Parts: sequence; structure tokens; C-alpha cells
Amino acid sequence: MPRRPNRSSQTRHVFRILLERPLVWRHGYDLAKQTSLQSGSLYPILIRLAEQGLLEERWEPSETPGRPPRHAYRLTSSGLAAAREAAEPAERRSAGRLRLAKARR
Amino acid sequence: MARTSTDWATAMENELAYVPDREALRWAIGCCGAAYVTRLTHLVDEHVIARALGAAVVLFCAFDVTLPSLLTIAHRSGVLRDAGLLTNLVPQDAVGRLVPLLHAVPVWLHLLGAIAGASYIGAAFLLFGKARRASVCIVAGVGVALAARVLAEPILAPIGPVTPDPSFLSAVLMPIAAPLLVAILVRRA
Repeated sequence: MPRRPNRSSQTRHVFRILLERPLVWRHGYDLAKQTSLQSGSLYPILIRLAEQGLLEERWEPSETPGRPPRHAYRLTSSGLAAAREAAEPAERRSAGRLRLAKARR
Repeated sequence: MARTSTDWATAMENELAYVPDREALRWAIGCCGAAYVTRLTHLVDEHVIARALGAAVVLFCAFDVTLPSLLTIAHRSGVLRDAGLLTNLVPQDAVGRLVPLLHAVPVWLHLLGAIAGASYIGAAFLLFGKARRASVCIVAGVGVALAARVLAEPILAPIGPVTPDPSFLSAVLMPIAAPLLVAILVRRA
């Protein structure tokens, strides 16, 4: 059975944090603090989600003069759906799949 | 990193200005790792020639890291007992040091070399098969190979270096940078 994308515990953790306030734009460092992920783990996840169209990015000017603009992220509408599905507890997902399989029979 | 690579690189670089000083170094190192892993992950999307050449380079790294073990097995099993064969492999003046070196290398060091070699071989197959986990295997291989080099240093230093002695830099740069370099060259060609 092929591996389903975005199912790693780290990606699901990022999804859960982004789902808490889906409309708010988040910055890399804040996400790293909230998820307790290092930048080396966080950014590949963000890059992958953005490439899959699940995350939108934008540049925000700094509120402090002299500091560079920051990249901010939030879930897209398809990202919201994917995040909700991924953030579901594993038992509920497998129960749902079982129900679906029974209904197909 | 696909077409937005510059954006992401700038994003990581700019974010550093908002990271507290005490965490900045770890953040920067993590970003370098993230950039590398993402680059290498995208290598699997490259042309089959780029992937084949990248896999060949990684296979060479596997050969390089397991060569001491292969030589030891060959020597202990009697295949290399003939000094003539050894002199074909290494310069004459190094043969005198190579044989005691083959005896000095402990089994656990060979095991580390084998693990690193297996990681590289796995990475080569994954890379050629378009699997995105290839970068993880390469990084694991480099980590184990480096650990083996550092741990071997106090054991091998009294015997003296044997030529050809691949430098520490080539042991790191070869598996890490060469597959990417190959992909870039093929893409430009």
C-alpha cells in the first residue's frame, strides 16, 4: 500500500498548530516554537505543503525598522481540509475508513 | 528547491533576524540542513540521466567507505597476502603501513563502515527510483561515516597515514555535494 502524504507525526503537529487559528498568518520562528520543531525539520515541511498547494505564503514588512520582511504562512482552503483530516485521531480515521469500506460492499 | 527556491532561502535568512541570539546558530544550521534536504529531494524530479549519475556518485561513496573493510576481508582471507597485489592498489612506500593497518581496524569500525555503505547503496537505489527519502539515507550515511572517521582517528594515528588518504573534506563533500552538482550540470547541458 503506498504511503499517504503528510502523515508524519511532525507534519500532523504542524497541521494541528495551523488549525488552531487558521486565518492568522504565522511566521517560521513562531511555528518552530509552537511545534517544538527545529528549523531543519520545520522548513522542509512548510516547503512541501506550499508546493502541494496546502499552504499559502506572503511577505510581511517588519514592524521594527531596520529588520527584513518576514515570510508568513497559513493554510489554503484545500490545506484546511487536509489538515482537518490529518489532525483527526488515528482511531477515528481507521473507523471512518472501515465504515466506508462496509458501505461500498 | 523548485522555482521558489530563492524565496524560501530568503525567508529562512530573513527569519534569522527575529531569532534570539542564543538560538541563532542552531537555527542557521537547521536552515542549511533544510535547504540541502529540500534540494536533494528535488533531485528525484530531475532527468533520468541526472538521477543515474547522482546514484553512481553515491554508489562510489559506498565503495569508498567500505573499501577498508573489503581490503581487510581480502587480506585476512589470503587473497591479498601476495604483496604484489597490494602494491598495485597503493604506492610501494605505503604497503608497509597498510598491512598493520588492516590488522588494527577493529570489527566495530568495519560495522560502522558497512552501515554507512548500506545507507549509500540504499540512497543510490532510492535516488534512481525517484524516492524522496534518498536524502535521508545520504545524510545518515555521511553521519555514520564521519562518526567512524572520528572514532578511528586514535586507533589509526599511531600507525600513520596510508596513501591514498581521502581527506575529511572529500568524505563529506563527495556524498553531499556531488549528486547535486551532477544534477545542475546535466540540467544546464
